[in-house]
Amino acid sequence: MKKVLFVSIVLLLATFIMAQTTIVFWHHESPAHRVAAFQKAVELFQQEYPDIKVVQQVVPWGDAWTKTLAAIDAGTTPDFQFSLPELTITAYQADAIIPLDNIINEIDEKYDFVDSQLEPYMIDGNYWGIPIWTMPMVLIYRPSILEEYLGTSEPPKNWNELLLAAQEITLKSAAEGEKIYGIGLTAGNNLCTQEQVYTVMANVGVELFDEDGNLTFDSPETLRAVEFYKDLFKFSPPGATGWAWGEIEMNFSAGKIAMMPYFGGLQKRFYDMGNYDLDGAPQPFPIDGQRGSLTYPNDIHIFKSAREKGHLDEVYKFIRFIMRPEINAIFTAQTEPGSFVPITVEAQESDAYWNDPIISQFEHLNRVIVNEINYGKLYGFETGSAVNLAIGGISGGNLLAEMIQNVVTGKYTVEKAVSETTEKMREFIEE
Amino acid sequence: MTKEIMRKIIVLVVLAIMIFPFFWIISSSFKSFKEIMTMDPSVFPKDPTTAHYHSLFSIRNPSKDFPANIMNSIIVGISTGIISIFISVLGAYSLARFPFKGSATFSKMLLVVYVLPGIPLLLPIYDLLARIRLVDTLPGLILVYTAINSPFAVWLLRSFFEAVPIELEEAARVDGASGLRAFYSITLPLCASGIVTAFMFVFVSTWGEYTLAQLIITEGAKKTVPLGLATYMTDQYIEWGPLLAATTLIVVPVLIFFLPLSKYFISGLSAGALKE
Amino acid sequence: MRSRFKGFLLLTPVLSLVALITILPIVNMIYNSLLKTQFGFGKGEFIGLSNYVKLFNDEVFVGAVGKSFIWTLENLLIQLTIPLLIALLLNKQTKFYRVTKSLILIPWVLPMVVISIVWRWLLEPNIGFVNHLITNMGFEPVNFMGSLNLTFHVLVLINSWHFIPFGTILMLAALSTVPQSLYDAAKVDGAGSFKQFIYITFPLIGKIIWFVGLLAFMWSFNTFDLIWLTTQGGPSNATMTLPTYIYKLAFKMYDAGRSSAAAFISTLILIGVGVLYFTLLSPKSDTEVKQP
Repeated sequence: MKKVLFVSIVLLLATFIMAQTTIVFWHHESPAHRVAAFQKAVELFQQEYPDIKVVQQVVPWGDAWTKTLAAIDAGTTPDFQFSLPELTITAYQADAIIPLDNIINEIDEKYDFVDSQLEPYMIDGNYWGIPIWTMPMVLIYRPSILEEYLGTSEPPKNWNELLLAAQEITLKSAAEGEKIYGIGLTAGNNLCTQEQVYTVMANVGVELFDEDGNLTFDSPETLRAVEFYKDLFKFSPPGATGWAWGEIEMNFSAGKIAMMPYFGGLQKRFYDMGNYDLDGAPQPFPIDGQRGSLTYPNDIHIFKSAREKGHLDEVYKFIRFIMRPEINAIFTAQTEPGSFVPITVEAQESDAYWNDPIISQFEHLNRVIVNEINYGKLYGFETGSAVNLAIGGISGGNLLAEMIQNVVTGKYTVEKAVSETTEKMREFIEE
Repeated sequence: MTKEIMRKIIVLVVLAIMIFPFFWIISSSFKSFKEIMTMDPSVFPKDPTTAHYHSLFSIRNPSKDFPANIMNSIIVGISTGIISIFISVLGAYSLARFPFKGSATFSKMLLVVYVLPGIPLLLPIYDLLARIRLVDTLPGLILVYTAINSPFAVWLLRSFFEAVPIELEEAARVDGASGLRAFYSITLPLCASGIVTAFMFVFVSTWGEYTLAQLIITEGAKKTVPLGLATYMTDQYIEWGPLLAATTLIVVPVLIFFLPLSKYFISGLSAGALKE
Repeated sequence: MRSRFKGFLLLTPVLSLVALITILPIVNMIYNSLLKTQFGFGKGEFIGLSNYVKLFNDEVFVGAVGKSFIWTLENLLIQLTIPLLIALLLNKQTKFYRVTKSLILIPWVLPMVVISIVWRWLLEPNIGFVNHLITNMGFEPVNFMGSLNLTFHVLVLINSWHFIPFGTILMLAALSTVPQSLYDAAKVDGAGSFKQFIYITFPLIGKIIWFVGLLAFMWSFNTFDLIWLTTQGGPSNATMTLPTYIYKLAFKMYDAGRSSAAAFISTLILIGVGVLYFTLLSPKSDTEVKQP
């Protein structure tokens, strides 16, 4: 009797396991709470679809490019992965992913994508990545520092005010021996610097390419933005020429920096420390300029290997599932509150997002952030879709960061740095 | 006497410089996040906490599993050590006992091969492992580490075998022992310190290796220590607490393995390098 | 004849592994260096030597070659002298020195991923502990990681700091082989400790210095993790050495062909300097061919 029971259980399990499909995805968000949030969403999905097993694998951002290329080369890609426009372009150029127009149209009708966040994934007439969340930059600041040195908690609204405020905080605090810096800007050789530089560039309408993909970087607008960055940089802490995200975040958290164009992702740390001295404002722009900022949409692209293995249905099910506003909130509010922001109008209005404890603690800041998406752009994608695929290498080669380094270290004048960078971009495009 | 005190003071200063960063890691691993993020850093934690250590062992999931990282690194280190010693002993014995024209140059070339640049070999190595279906497996990683470390081990061990007089082996054979028996009962024990040295060298070099490991291993449960540590320092969110706690802990097994053997290591290296 | 076959047989495992994991990929790399190929796979267009021509016209590449040499030289200088000095200091057998010899190994066993981020933190001008000490002494904070002139040398120091324990252990090992009787004899002859070092110690440990130099050269020339994880070659390419350049070209700018060409040149340099080192600087006994 026992034996029969045992055998039948084994058989039952066997059929169950055989009927189950396993889909594997990569993402690049390695901190413990982000991994836990991904796992939570995965488990909710598996409850609803017991016949599908989903496996998350974490590949840190620093390794994402090498691993993606190696896996494409060797045919060991996962079914899909989380990505950025540049990485999706790389995967597209390596002929490794499939177009996603159908699923995008379906989700768009249901939840309404913010158009500007979808367009960077349009390459040669098709969409190759489906945006899941986006990352807008705003002016993050410490209200208490503004209060102490400017006598107001009103953040600056335009470039002049920003420059003056940064200067005043830096000089006043130095006079008191406190050494707090008005602005946090980086000039390290990395993506962090490029993101900040571009935020400033977006305020005067810098475009890397025109609609036909021609290089239009060497413009008066670019000169103006770089000049302003250079001026503002004087009130950034010493050593910022060697900074990346880690250093600027530590300095801001330690109270060394009053304001910085940055993502909203410090909320969780402040919340955990019980420090609520954190707010944000729209990125200041010159009076004759335009409201604008950087937004970095994050997407999923699906590898051809998923189609070959017959996993497409399961992957689409998963994508539909995570785009439901209440599930999408797990990928935004719980994965990195303030940094990862809903990308569909439905999700932006959902209670699941706004009722999250951290999101609601910093509600003003988060309203600012969500609103800023409407003014957001990404370098190389100013006119909408991916018009020049060289942007992948231009971004990966840190050309914008290198330009800023050459300026703030005094190696080149602004004019020389911009024209040299344009030249490098041109060389790169021609190859 | 005063000379000796001066000397000890200088030694302590040198030692302080050499191990201060590690001391800083240990000390900060007991600081709360708030205290780590301060503009006024202190040498000792003001309000010590073991929370970061707890989190290493309590937050375990298939993608992030620090105890598994340590186990994997130990498995990889020991397996690589054993396998590379095995094949290196064969190779070194061959070079010592059956030299051919140019074998001295050959063994030097092994050393050069040992340090050929790693970066451009990344894609081809991955491609190769994929073909033999060893991508994302510990055996794959062990294979690559063995290939990379063996040339050095051969080079190191060769001089040990050369130092054992061939007459000893021949005498054993006259007494009726087979060639193999003579080898492992006479020659091998005489080379013990060399073998320990080579093993430790290989172990330590696998313990900290990052670039190849990140390429070959993807699955969280198979990650080695450096990969596990890297998951604490993503671009925009450095988990200082767990990172520092984990670093403190990973040095412990190495010291446990290393310190008792360091005597052999020192004498082994001197023998190996000096006989060259 | 039989023994020659046996010898070859015993060498087979290590040779085949080296062929598989090192030689084969290098052949692949040389082939790629003649192609115009983005990712190093798929169809590339054969373009002969133009990748090489472009490299020599690229001032960043030429700069990287030069920086690699300076990088290696600076590292060599430090990694040969400091370990020797520390070893001379520690060459005693009391418990105090034995414990010190063990503790000093710690930097060597720390993974590079940790080393780079912890040093970045310690040296940060505003919140780092080292600069905290500097400002407490009344000086201005030093921009260690973002300076055109300084950062390169700071990275040399960190890299050397990592290597010094291993070098010290080697030097100590060598020192332990110098017979005490020689020093005693020298003392009788009235030689001071400096003279003792020059005439007794140095000649006897020459070989180990040669060996430490070899390892230091080869490891330093290939340093990648430390530079990539701290500066990514910046600021303004001030720390862009060959390995960093090769990585950036291949995996950030997707020029696998040109990256392979740079890598091949780097391989040639390594082999070339290696051969020179062996032939010109080898200790004498090393050239003997031992016959059983």
